[in-house]
Parts: sequence; structure tokens; C-alpha cells
Amino acid sequence: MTMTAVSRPVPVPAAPGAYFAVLASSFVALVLLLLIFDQLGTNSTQLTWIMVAFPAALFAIIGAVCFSNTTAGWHACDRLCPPALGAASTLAGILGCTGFVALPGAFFFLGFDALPFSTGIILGLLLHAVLIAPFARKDGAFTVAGYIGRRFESRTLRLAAAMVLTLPCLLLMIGEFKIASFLIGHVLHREPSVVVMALAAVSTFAVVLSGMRGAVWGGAAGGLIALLVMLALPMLGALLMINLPLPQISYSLAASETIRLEALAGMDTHRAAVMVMTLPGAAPAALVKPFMQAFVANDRASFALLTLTIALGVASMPALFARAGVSPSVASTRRMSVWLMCLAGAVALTLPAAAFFTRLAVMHALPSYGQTAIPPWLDLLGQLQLAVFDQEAATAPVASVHFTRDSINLLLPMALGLPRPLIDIVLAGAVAAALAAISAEAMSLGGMWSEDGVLAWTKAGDIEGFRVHTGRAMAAAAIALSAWLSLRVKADPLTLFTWAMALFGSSVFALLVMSVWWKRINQWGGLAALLTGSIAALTQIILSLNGSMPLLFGVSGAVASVLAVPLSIAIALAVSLATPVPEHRMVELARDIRMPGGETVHDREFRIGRIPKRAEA
Amino acid sequence: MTEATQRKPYWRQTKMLMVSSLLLPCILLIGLPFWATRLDGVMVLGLPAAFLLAVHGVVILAIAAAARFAVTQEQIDRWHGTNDNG
Repeated sequence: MTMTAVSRPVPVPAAPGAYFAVLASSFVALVLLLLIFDQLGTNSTQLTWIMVAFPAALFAIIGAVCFSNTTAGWHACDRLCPPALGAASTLAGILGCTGFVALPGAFFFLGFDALPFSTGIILGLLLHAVLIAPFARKDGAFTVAGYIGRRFESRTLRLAAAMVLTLPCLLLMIGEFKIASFLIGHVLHREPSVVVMALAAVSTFAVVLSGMRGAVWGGAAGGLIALLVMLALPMLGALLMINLPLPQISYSLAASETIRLEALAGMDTHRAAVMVMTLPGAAPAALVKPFMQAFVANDRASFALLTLTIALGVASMPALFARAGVSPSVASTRRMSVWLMCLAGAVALTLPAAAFFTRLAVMHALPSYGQTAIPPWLDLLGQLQLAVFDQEAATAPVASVHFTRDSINLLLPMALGLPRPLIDIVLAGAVAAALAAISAEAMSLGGMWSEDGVLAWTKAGDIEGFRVHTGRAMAAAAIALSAWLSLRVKADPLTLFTWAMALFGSSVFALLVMSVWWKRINQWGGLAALLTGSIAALTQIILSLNGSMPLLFGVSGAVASVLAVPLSIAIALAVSLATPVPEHRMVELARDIRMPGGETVHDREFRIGRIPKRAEA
Repeated sequence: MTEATQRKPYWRQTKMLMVSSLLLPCILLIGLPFWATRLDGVMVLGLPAAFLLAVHGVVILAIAAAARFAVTQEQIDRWHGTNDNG
């Protein structure tokens, strides 16, 4: 008889609020302590290192504490995750540094025209909550590909789905590494490779030990820190600038002032031409667009198409799908979706407010200085290579200063003259968000490569220990590969994010929705939809990269899914109707997934798969 | 396993709820840019009306739709005896 290490489920607190309260108070206490040391004259670089190390250490400790050695624990957090906690970790997992660092920059430069990102995310979460999440939980699959493989009883389709989804997952992870290494590397004067290696080491340690348990509990901690930072800075900005600490709505009090300053700076108010879509790049850029003026950077059609692309992509994200399965029940998954919407709503309201107050602080500060006397915070940004300003320019100072998109979060506390630890909390939030997103994507990729690739031909319930170890190895490989690629690939992280969303939506959105809502779809229709959608989107992206060929209907690669999704739906309908009806078993499975009560389909298969072993024992 | 006679009305109500939860938000969110320009010059609470609706209106509408969906679906589940006491 052999003894195996069995991990106990992580005890779920009676109120997850206690977990959040301990985490939030620890973080606030750290910030207060560092503020005291800052006033006492401690070296500011040391304080910055402590601030950056805190979320990383917290993530690693939670990963070690949540050690898991069972498939249910490693892949599905034992299906014991409370809704609010799951929502916080899911939000951090799907937004990551892109949402915490790049989107505030996009709002700073584009104002109204950046709304497709927040609107698309909100709409995508709603689509997922209604069309996919409850059924994903009832099926209980660890991965999107695993669900598709079981629903259509096709290992080919399962393998194809895993292969197709690998690229967008990698794009997201590469983007996370790139954004975090850019921001932290510049502020701490370290090479991006050092930051990338540190992030990869911490996330590998936590994910390998604890899998989804660590991703959920550590991700919730990261999400909380990022959310606190995201809410606190605009609140301070609103308090200092207009004496009303409710930034999400109070910026209306300063709207007329901003419009006046923008007019003085001579910002362009001309509407964009048809099918023009401009996203702020990673290179330094000047403020040229009025904040509240609509359709200057993107025309109306591009605005709607980008919203739709982000929405379909978010709704189909494998990381979001996997989180549906960590709840104790289908009803709990629905509650988690509502919590998720509320948290995402808070972010969607805060992003424009933070960008508005940053813009106001910058425009107030810059014109008051002459060409030769620059503000100290701008000088510091210049030294950190996060802003470029032209001393010879004859135009207004606002137009002559170029800011980097991914450092905009630092601007507000710097322009307001806040103490160094309140600037450093941006770095803590970036580390926390990046680790949450990297671990979420690593779990998606590790799960797909192990369960839907290496182990696709094994029976459910077999070789449990080997299953977990394969998952660990694959998740570690996914982190290592994306970390290496992030140092090799030259691409803008926000563009990578939009491409990933376009590819997610194009490849599996139609398939996921039709597999629940249309029983007649069969494996041939499913395979045709998967391949058609992904190839159409990939072709469109490659065409837009090339630039030498005219785009189909003028649609950019970043919004490719708006063409690919209808195409894949049409192909799925045509092929399914032209081929034999699905077998009775598959129809019964579809009916089973629709009914919320009872055991998940996966857990039932797993339990039945282990019965012969017990009988032998 | 729930009987077919129970399953059909349950699924019919679920489909109706799905349509009613998504139709209005989808139309408004995707159609937003096409009617936003009609609100040019209209100010509400000190902000351009289109901006206010696009930022705050969208969030409130989507959260309300999700909350209504979750509550109503639980009622449907209970009514048909398919809830899992989560």
C-alpha cells in the first residue's frame, strides 16, 4: 500500500469579507507605515522596493498556503469559492495590467473614444453571465476545450479548440509581462528582463503549488489591492481639486473648466473619417483630443465594432469560463456573475474619472510654467524616460509634452505633489494585477495543454496524481514561454489585448453559445465553426499587419471578430443541417447541462471513472 | 433526471428570460454611437448627455440586467424544482 500526499480543501471563511478586511487593512497599514518612514527621511528607493515586493510576497505566500494535490483542488479550487471572492479574482484575472495600467492611459488620451473598452468589457461579462456561465458550471469542465470535447464527444474538436485558443492566451500573457516590466523597470531602473523573470518566478511558484486555488485566493488579494489603488488615487485627486471625494460623478463640477483649457490648447475637434480607428500606442504622445468630444479618434462604426469585439472576446475568455466552475453551485455562479458586474462597473466608472482628473491636473500644472522652467514631477518623468518634452517647441506646453500611455497612472499622484509612497502604490497595484492575470492565463493554458492535449485520451478519474503534475508542468511551461516571448516580441500590449479578444470571440463564442442553446448542432458543425471563425479572424489580423493589402470592408484586424462570428454561426448552421443529427447521448447531455440542479457532468464522470479502482481495492 | 414535461416549460421560461435580459442592453450598448451624436449640446449634471449615458447609463443598465437575470432565474429554478440549494 502506498501513501500519497493529500491536500485538504482550503477552509472557506464564513464571511469572505473577513479575508478582504484583513488584506485591505494590511495594505493600508503598509502604506501608512511607509508614509511615516518617508517623512522620517528613509531612502525612497528602499520604500519603493518594499511596496513592489508586498503584493509579490503576498501572492507567493497565498500560493504556498493553498497547496493542492488533487485535480478538483488544482483545477477547480475544490468548487468551494465564495461568489464575492471569486468575482474579485476573476476581475483581476481578466483585466490584469492591461486594465490597470494601459486602459487609464487610453482614457487619458482618447476620453470618450476609449469607451469601447469599458463598455465592451461590461457587455461581455453580461453575455457570459446569461449565455455561458451557468451552463459552464453545470458541465464542470476545467477548460473551454474540455467542455467542447465532452459536449460534442469529439477528441479532435477538443484538441483543435485547445490549439486555437493557445495563441490568444499567449498574447494576453505576453501583454501582461510587457506592461508590468515597462512600468516597474522604468521606475526602478531595472532591465525589463529582470522584472519579467521576477514576475515569472513568483507566478510559477504560486501556480505550480496551488493551481486554481492559488489563482483564486491570490488573485482575489491582487484584485483587491489593484482595485483599492484604482479607487483611492482619483478619490484623492477629486478631494484635492474640487473638495468632493466622489470622483466617479464629481468630475462634472470641473467639466466646463477642462473644456475651456482644452480649447485654449487648441485641441482638434474634427470628427474621424468613416472606419477610422485610432488606439493610443505605447510610444510617447501628446494630448490632442478633447476629453468629452465623441468620435474624433474613432468614427461611430469603428466605435460600435470595437465594443462588440471586446464584448464577444471577454464573453469567450477561457480564464472566465474556468472561473464559472469554481463555485459550489449554479446559483452561486450566477451570484458571482452579479458581483463581477458590480466590480467591473466600479472600474468602468472610475477609469474615465481617473483619466479626467489626471488630465485636469496636468493642464493646470503645465501652462503655469514657462518653456525653461518645467515642473519637478515632469522632470522626474523625463529622467525615468516616461515623458518627452520639446524645449524648442513654439506651441502651448500641453501640446509639446509627450506622455507614455503606460505611465499615466503615475501622473495624477505626481502632478498633485503627493508623497512618494502614494506614487509607489501604483506599482504595487500593477504587480498585483499582473500576477493575477498571468496566473489566470497560465491556468487556462496549463489546463488546456495537459487535460486537452497530453491527457485527452485518458479516462476521467484515472492517474489523478499524474494529472496534477502534468498540469503543474504545463502551467510552468506556459509562463516560461510567454515570459521569453515578451522579451522577444515587439508589439503594443493594448493591440495584443484587442487581437486576443478578436481571436477568442471569433473562434469559440458562436460554438459555446450554440452548444447550449441549439441542440441540433453536431461535431461537424462545431469543428467547421471553430476553424472558420479562427481562420477568418487570423487572416484579417495578418492582413492588417501587412498593410499592403486592402482590408475586407475596411475592417481592422483588431475588430475582426465582427465579421468572423456571423460567418462561423452561418457555417455551423449549414454544416450541422447538412450532416447527420447528433446522437441521442449528445442531446441528453445538452439537456442535462441546461438543468442547474445536481452534480456537475464532469464530477459525475470522474466519480464513475474511479468506481472500478475502488472495487479492486 | 427531470421529466420532459417539466423540462420544456422550464427551458421556455429560461429562454424568455435570456432574451429579455440581453435584448435591451445589447441594442443600447451597440447602438450607442449611432444615437450619441443626436445628444450633442445637451448637458445633464454638468456633463454632455451622451458622455453621461455612455459611462454611467451603460454600467447601471448592465448591472440591473445581470441582477434581474440572477434573481428571476433562481425563482424559475425554485418554481420548477430544479434549484441546487446553492
